[in-house]
Amino acid sequence: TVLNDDKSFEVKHPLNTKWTLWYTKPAVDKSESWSDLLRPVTSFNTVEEFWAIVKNIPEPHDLPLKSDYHVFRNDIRPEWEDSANEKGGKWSYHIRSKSSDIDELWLRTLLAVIGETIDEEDSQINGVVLSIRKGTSKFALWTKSEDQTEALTNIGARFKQVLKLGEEDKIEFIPHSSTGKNAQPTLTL
Amino acid sequence: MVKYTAEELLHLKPEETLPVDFDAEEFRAIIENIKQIQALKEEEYAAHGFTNR
Ligand SMILES: [Zn+2]
Ligand SMILES: [Zn+2]
Repeated sequence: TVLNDDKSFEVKHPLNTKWTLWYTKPAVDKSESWSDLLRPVTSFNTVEEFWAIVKNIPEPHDLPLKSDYHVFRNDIRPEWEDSANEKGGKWSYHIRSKSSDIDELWLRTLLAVIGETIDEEDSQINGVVLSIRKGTSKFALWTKSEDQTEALTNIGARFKQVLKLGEEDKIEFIPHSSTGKNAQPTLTL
Repeated sequence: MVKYTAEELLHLKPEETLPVDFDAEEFRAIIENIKQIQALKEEEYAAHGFTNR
């Protein structure tokens, strides 16, 4: 039947929720404020739309320094002030930016997030961020809570698999409430 | 909850590039432009060091 033919142009495969791609543009002059720099690019709620977007935007290795890609659920803003993020935190991992596999690891992360396989049941995941910086880039997985230790630990363990990390590579969970210079991770894996 | 494994998502990747509902050409142009500005600043910096900062 048509419904079983996943190559059919008519049938799009719905994702669990809508997602929005945001981009943080590096500042090129001092007049630009944060609100000028962080912008939603587009939204998608099917697998096919996701691939269309991926094929139309630069891969991470082609982004300028100080750029961020953010992919967030529905209309959640990729900022800790958003009410959906307020009580949450993030798992993060720093990677040498010359590392050639950032493109692949970012795609693997996106697939795990939009396919919802990084989360067991309840949707803890609010979004994911890739920050391109000089010398090191950062992957961050944003969650809606900071105190569901068991769920967060499971998510962190899967995040490490997605990023192909070994025992010796560490990821850290930092609640948004403690973000800042003296931020202390509450979990380390 | 609707779930897809990475394998399933890759299997559903269309061969052809489908249209998107935003101006992708403009988006890529903005990024190209920033890279050029950053490269010029790097050159400037390499040529003059700290002297004109
Ligand atoms: Zn098939
Ligand atoms: Zn390239």
